Amino acid sequence: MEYSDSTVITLLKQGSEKVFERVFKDHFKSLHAYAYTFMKDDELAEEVVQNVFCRIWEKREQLKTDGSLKAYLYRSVHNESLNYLKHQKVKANFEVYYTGQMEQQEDHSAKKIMANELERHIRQAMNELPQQCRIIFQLSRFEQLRYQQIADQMGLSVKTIENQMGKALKLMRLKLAEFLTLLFLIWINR
Amino acid sequence: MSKSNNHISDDLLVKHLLGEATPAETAEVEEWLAADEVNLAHFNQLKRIWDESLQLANTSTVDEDAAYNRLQNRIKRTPDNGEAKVVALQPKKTNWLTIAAAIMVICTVGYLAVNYFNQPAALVTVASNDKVLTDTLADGSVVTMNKRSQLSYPEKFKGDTRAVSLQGEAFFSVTPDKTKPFIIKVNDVTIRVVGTSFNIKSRDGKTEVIVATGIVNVAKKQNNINLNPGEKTEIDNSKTGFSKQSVKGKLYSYYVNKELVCDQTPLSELVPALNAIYGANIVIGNKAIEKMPITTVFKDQSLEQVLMVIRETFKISAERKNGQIILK
Repeated sequence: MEYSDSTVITLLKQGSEKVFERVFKDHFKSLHAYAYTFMKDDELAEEVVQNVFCRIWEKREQLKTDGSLKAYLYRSVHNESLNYLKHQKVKANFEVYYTGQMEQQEDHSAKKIMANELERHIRQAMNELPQQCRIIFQLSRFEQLRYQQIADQMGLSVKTIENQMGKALKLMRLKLAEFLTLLFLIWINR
Repeated sequence: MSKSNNHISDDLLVKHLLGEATPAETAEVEEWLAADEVNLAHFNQLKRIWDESLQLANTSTVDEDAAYNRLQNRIKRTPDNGEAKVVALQPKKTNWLTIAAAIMVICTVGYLAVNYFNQPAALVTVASNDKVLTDTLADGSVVTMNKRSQLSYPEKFKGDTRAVSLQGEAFFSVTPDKTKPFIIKVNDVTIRVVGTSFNIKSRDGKTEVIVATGIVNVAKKQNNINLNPGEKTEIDNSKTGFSKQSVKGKLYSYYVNKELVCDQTPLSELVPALNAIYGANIVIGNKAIEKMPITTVFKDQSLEQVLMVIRETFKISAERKNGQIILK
């Protein structure tokens, strides 16, 4: 049975475990994938998603009935991920050195290093996108959704999706331009 | 095309890249791309990012059913609606007993502290008993107590005076301090100095003060007198009046430095001193020799040696009889 977002939210507020389970199972994979792009770790990504759903269940009476549920879930996962990373920042500062060393030991070929570097740069650029932009990019890229589908799920106009997607790639290109040029130079010099 | 260069938006390029563009838009983009290599490079960078970013996707297969079970376990673990109960760490009820106890403790500590800092310094009492005793006071003054004497003084001198009390005999060498007079109470006699040396002897109902250096003020009731070096006063405990006399020699200070300094000292003065020092019983058997003066220094000598000097000086004889030594 298909419910509209507002119906689902109303049922959640009433404490329907069935609806809660349905929402979780419907969105888990995509939310997990979204969290993964931040966390780079399956377990941590699941923890982030679970945190979000735990809080939704605990505070279900306070859920807002208006707006897109999917957009809300993505925003929650996005914020939770950033919070987590913020808390880990100090720890990470210490780990960077070792991680860097390990990565260098693992991969010796310049090509592989550059490929890894590109991936790292893209990930960083993507994670620095504004939240809305980032979520829409995620839906388009990893869930392979059409603009219309994203618009429907997010409760936004197709024009907005178009703008946000353009903005996403524009920002990423600006951040990556230097690196991409360098990569190109290396490639033609081989 | 004139409208092409630089003015095509990334929005449209992305739309084209994702296959969302309308046929008209696609034509526009393709035209733009063909117009300049820079345009193509620009588009290729967007494409590259788009293509490469797919690698960031999570490729692992996650099972939402298992994940949901884990979530349920987690939610069930938190009691009642998952709403954690807020438990106050401390009962909010004001514990008046605790407050009262705290106030009591603070007051007690404060009271003890005030007492501790304000109390007069502990009084030290030193008794010399059967030997001569030298003691240094807190201000550096040195007191040599003769046998059977007792001195009381504070561990530290507080306030504007240095007050001590004495019984018996002692020689004081007082450290000068004009701001803090040194005051000795002997019976009802008060000796007041700022920095001198002098001897006080209080025996057999009489108090005797002899000054070695500096000026000493001796007071009893309304009377008082200033003594200079070489002067002494003798106060009868039962009388209030007193006067000063000059002394020659320093017979009084033998117990301090084992020196018996005679300077025109009549035999009648030397003999009691010897009796006191050596515990002897010397008597003068001839009134004519009582006033005869002697000038010498006996230093750490035996009674026999001293008697020999006296015999030689005065050309007299010393006759021992029933434990008495009679000088004739």
